[in-house]
Amino acid sequence: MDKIRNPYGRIAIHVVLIVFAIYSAFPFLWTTLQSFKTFRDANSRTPLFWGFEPTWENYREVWLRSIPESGGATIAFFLLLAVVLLICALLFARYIPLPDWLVYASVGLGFMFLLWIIPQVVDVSQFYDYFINTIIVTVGTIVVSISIGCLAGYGLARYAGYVGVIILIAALAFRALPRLAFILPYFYIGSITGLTDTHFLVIITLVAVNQPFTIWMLRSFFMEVPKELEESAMVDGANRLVSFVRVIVPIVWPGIISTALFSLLLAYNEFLLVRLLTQSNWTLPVAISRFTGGEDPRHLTLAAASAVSATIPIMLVILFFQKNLVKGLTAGAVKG
Amino acid sequence: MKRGTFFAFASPSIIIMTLLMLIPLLMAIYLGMTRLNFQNVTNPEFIGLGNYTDVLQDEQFWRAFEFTAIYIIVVVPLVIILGFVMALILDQVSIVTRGIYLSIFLLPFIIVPIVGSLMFKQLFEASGPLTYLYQEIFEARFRPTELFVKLLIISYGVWYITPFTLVVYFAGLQTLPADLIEAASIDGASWHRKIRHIVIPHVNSLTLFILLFTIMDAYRVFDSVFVLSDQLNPIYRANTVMTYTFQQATLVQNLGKANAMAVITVIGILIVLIPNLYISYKGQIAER
Amino acid sequence: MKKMIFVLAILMLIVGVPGMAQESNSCNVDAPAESSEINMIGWSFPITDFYAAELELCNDVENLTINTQLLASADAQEQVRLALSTGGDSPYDIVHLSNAQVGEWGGAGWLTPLNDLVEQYWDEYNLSDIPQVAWEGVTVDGQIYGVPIVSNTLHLIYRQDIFDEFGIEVPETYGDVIEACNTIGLDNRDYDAPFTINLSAGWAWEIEFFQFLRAFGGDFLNEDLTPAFNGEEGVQAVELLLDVANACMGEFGYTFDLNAQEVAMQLGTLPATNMWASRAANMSDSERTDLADVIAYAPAPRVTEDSPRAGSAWNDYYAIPATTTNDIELIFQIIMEVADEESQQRAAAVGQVTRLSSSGFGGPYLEAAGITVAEGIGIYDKHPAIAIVRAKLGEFLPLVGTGDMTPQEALDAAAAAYIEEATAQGYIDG
Repeated sequence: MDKIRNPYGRIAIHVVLIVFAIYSAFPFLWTTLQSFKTFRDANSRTPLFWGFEPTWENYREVWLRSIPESGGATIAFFLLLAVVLLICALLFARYIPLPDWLVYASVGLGFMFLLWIIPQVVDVSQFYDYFINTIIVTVGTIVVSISIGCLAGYGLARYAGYVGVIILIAALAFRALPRLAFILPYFYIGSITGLTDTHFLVIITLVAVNQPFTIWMLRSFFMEVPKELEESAMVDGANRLVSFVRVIVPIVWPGIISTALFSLLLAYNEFLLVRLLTQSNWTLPVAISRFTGGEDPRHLTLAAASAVSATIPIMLVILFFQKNLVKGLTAGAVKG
Repeated sequence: MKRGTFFAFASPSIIIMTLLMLIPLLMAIYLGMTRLNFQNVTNPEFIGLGNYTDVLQDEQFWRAFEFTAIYIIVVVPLVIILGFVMALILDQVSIVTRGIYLSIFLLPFIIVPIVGSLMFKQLFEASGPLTYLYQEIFEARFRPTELFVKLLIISYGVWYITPFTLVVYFAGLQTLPADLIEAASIDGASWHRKIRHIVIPHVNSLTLFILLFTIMDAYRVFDSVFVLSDQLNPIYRANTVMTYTFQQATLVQNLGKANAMAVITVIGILIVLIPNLYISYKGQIAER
Repeated sequence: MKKMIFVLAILMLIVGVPGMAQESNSCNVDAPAESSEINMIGWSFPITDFYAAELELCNDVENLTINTQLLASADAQEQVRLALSTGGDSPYDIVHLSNAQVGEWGGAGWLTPLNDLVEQYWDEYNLSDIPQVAWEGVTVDGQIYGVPIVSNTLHLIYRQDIFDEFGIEVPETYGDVIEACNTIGLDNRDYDAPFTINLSAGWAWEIEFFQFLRAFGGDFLNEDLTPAFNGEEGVQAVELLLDVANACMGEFGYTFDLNAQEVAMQLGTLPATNMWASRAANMSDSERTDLADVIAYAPAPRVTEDSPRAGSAWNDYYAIPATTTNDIELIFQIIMEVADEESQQRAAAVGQVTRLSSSGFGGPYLEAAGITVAEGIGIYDKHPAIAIVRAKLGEFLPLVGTGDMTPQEALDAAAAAYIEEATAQGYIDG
């Protein structure tokens, strides 16, 4: 659309955008404020936006069982420094004179090492375990879901038969079904096979629930790739699978990342399924739901600290991949 | 691609979907015909269609269905209109500014729903800023009522889904054919005429896509209702089909009836979606 | 018996030896030979939070990892049902339960009988210090299924200064409560409500209903397990609940959950409430309130002048699932870490413990709680059928609050649903 040039119109546009930005961010901002307050300040009937004594105590209580007796500040400093360095390495990967994949792999390893070392040096609380569970479930879901989804999406993009259409439509129908229709039988299956409360069951069920959406989305990315590409590769003697992995996947990589982000949001967000299928290996949403029962008197302060804690990691990931997320949101759509 | 190769590629996905969607669905239909609770999980007793008729006669189930329908009918148009308008406005500013605004606008979409609705609720706790505002303006004591909680659930739905529609429409606007707009401007067409005759027809297919997905997701709304109604306090009558099914399974401990209920809600959404599935089917057949 | 315990408790309170508690925060469990992971699930209130922290001290013991998981009460119970109903290996080694679950979980064979261990450790941990009533509460058919760790009841918490200002005497019956509410006034803008009871969930309705029902002389079930709760006393009980809700909380009557009540008391926006003894300790916590001096405690009101007090004698227990994969003796020792004298003495500061010798360390609410228990209505029977009654009442009683059913209709609907399920489970013949 052409731009409005009227100066009052321009001002109005920015006012609307700012108001909408406040509307989008306000609940998060308020909760962040609450998370830095003492029990009393957080419960004050006159809401305190400023003028309170900020405290880290809520975060301490959420994440740590006890404060290290000495050197706590040093440990915290080095851990924070490591996190910042790793994030910087990610952000500036292209300026580092090493192959990109090497940088990404080492950053990944670095984060894994950090996650492993933290419980060794500080006395972390249960919340940390839930955080680790969340990472395991999320990563597991993404890996399985995307690998089998790519194969199926590619097959569906290239196969013109009747069966393909049937599968696509069936998948669309499955996408629409309410979760509980599956979860109660999952609980049943899990209890018969003894798989309840395992990461495996959660991952595999999340993969299944997510599969319809994944194959539709990936299929639309594969359809964009001209057929001639893999045909020429196959002429050179590669079979379909090899040409798929060597030629097609690299081209569609940005699309695969977009799809992976949706798997990430799905697995990270899932509450109901995890709640009914795990009894001790909870993920963060289930752990946080403890504050929603109207029974925990620290439902303002501790809940706020854990809510913010659960949001920051996902915010970092999405900020980093924002372009892919936006691309993914529009992928299936724009072509109609 | 040959049929054999296709199946070789698609089989892992098809097997997972069959094992973990089709079979559980069939199991749910069967479990819905049993008397099943936490005392006889390993040994359900077959009782025929009793649970299904029970559900259909259950007033509370229909009330939950009604609220779900209201939720869809209110939330879906609101997110479409709000998303479209905001996309048009966002389209007006420079590319750098857009990026910054977009990161903020995406926030509601990426916050875990359980956490997001918890944050929403914090605004209306006794110490919340909006509670304070209400009490100052109306000089009345603020406590949540049925209407208020329902509105809150709907507002959260709008807050959470709007970023999705906004981004989709925004991307659609980027593909708007520039020559058409230019021609219209030369003819002296007003802004709102351009929107009506060029932009809206251009994004029509997007609207269909959004409709399909928002209806699907709104139909199974659970997390936000669970949190915002104080874990399903009956006084708010804010049950949706999903939360009511959940309640039957856990609090009332009637797993058989819960399964029957889940199956009936499946049938419900399929009936709504059949026209859409048929259109998709036609489209895919034509495309191949 | 109950009277004697009460007298004893008061004696302890008077001649108690406050300040003798020693700060010996350590776990005395012997290190297991193999590495063991012990998971506890429970629901959260001040004293169970304290116990969870106490259990986690055992992480310092070699080869031992302790995980504690806390949720809201209904959620925690749901998780236990999901985990134990299937009969597979239990993910939990310690489960928190109250009298309300003893019949259901113990009767279903989900829990390990602890008779031998209790006997073996009786002297070492001086378990006779825990009153017999508490042990009986967790004994089904001679099998002891848990260790009593908390005693609890619902009693009155009120603001002495507000009551003085309005010239209100401490209410002895719920009639007095309603009168007090009228005196303070439902539309008094200084307060959220004159008085609150928790009717914010199905289970909360059921708990309050049970107390009122028993106080009116009724009960859940007859001898032959047919429903008795839908009789005359049942209707009286629901009607009185409605009267209290209407007079004291008005149109918002069913929205005050435990948090809302607690925080409002601490902030001074509530003149009186019916509150769990286990939460009363927060009322004298200077971190949270300035009003500790003017908050006072009284026993639960009666429903009529000569009825028992409408307050029940709860206990909370830690139990061991029958299908745990860890050494039962080790788990028992870990439970004893919270049930031993030293930790109960410290726990008494945040809630009502079970050991008589620790009651001297408790807060100012203890007397009110003690009287409520002694003059109250006792507690649920331990038959598994009670669990069905509770679930059905929890389903239908809230419909009275929403105006969908009359008290009689709701009770009859619950009774019909109970009969269907109890027949199917073989407790009654059609």
